[in-house]
Amino acid sequence: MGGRNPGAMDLLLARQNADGGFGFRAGQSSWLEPTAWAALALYGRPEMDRAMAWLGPMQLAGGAWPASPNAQRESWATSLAILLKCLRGEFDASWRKAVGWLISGEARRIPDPSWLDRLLHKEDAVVQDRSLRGWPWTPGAAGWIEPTVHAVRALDHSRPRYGGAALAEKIEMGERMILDRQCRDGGWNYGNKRVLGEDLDSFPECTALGLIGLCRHRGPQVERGIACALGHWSRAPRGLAQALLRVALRMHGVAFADRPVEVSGRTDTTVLALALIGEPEGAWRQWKGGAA
Amino acid sequence: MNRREWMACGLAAAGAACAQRRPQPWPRKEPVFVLKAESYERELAGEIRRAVEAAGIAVLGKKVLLKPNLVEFSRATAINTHPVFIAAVMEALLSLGAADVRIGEGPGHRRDTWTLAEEAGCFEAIPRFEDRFIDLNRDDVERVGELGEWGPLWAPRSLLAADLIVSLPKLKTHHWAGATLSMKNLFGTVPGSLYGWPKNVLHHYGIDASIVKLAEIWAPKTVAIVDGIVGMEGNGPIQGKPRKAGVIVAGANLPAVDATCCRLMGIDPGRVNFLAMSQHLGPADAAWIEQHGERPETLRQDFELMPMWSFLRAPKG
Repeated sequence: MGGRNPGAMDLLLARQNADGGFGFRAGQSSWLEPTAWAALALYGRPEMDRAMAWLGPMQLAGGAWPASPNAQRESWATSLAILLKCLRGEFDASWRKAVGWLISGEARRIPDPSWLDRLLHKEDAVVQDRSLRGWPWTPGAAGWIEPTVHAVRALDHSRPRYGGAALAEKIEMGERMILDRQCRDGGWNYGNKRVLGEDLDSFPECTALGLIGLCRHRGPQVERGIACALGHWSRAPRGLAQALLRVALRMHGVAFADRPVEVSGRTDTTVLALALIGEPEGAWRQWKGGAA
Repeated sequence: MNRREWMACGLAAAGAACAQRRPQPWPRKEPVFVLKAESYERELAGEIRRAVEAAGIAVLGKKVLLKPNLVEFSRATAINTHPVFIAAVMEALLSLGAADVRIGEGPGHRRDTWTLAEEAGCFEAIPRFEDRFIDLNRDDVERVGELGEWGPLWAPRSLLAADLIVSLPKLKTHHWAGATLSMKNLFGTVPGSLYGWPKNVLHHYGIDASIVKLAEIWAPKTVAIVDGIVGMEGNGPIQGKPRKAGVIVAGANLPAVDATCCRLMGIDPGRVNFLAMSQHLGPADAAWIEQHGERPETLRQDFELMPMWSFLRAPKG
């Protein structure tokens, strides 16, 4: 799956640590997030097996994965591990435990404004549907776009084998949360569309993520999101934004003037991997799942 | 100011007055240097060197990590520590005998730190930026403390390896904290790879409490040099308006530096909660700050404050 960006593939392969995992940069110890993206980019190759062999034993007793062996705490990137296990057909006890953890790991509900707040302020400090909690970056915190997107994709891949109404409800809640946080310009940022009476702009990388989370959706809001993504694309983004926009636009079947992501020795491993995932024959199809 | 804003302001002022703590005595006067600097065009390194020496900041033989404020980039405003300013500090510290100077930042909103640094002009303005820069969001980590119910606080190893950290904030007002200066700038030391974008646990733990917690951890080896040449007023730290303040502020005691910056912005530091909460780390009271260079009251410019923060305004004279 080297595709049109063999430089990125060579750099990525050279980054694999002896333990099978990947760091964010060359020579760094292995972390879950870069290892997961690298594994997806290496889908179907033996190097993916080595990455999964590092990742597997890291799982915590409660079902989640830590972000790093040095930080033994449940991480948002557990969703990426679940996605990979689904793609490999590993619907085992470890997968079931992880999905159970993710389903029970809803974000904290931000308290509704008090009567005093309502008296003093024309609108909430942060405008959002507080019932749509999404998923947090860290357990127990508020929900944000990116961890919600990854949770939705992981649960969507798990749905055929895990079953149950709770999982389906969680996917629906996550998708509605993503739609609710859409910025006025049609895209997404990290998850605040309006704060203290001002509309916030979208970011290209988060707009791409919003569309990835909604890759099975159609409708006017998604169309606005795609239009915004194409607007971001026309401004020639680089790095992570470019890599994720390519994935998102391909998932939605949108024609665009593609160009490979420029990479170098200092490019973050996640960007290297996502650059490869977004190639025409890259693993974006597997990430989307179903009939791409 | 409309009726709602007037009521909000009145209640906030009343609350702040109730919560205001009496300034505590501090064992010595902390030196803070205030320097006039009209633009980024002039030769800054020499001036910064003078400020560093006058503020009693020792760098000889030290491995230094500069911590600028890189948040988001917009050509329309002044969000980030200016890259020319970062380069000038680097040059000044190397000329004073620093063994090594690196630059590290972990932005709170943008995932792609390198691209943000590129957009902000760091590659152009800072010699060998690529070799010197560390993405603190993705560094290896060590546990350095606790955030109460939110669990352990991990920190980038590069910070622990540095002998001296230099916080290089932008002089800005802040919509959740009132002001963002050398202590609030330490939010960028919290690794996003663990805590996310934004680093939401810091908000849940409490913004002021997090500012103090991070200052408690890093203050013993952290000094500050503030980019106040062009600051930001109003709805900072991102959506505010640029404000030409024409100052650089330097000092080894973070609360003393931040209090001086508040005075320059027309803010009463005694009403800023995180300064009231950090009296065990340094003084906000002018009686315990030894001002060098320009006097803050002569360079004071009243930065625009959001209505909810208007109670922070210092009385004139």
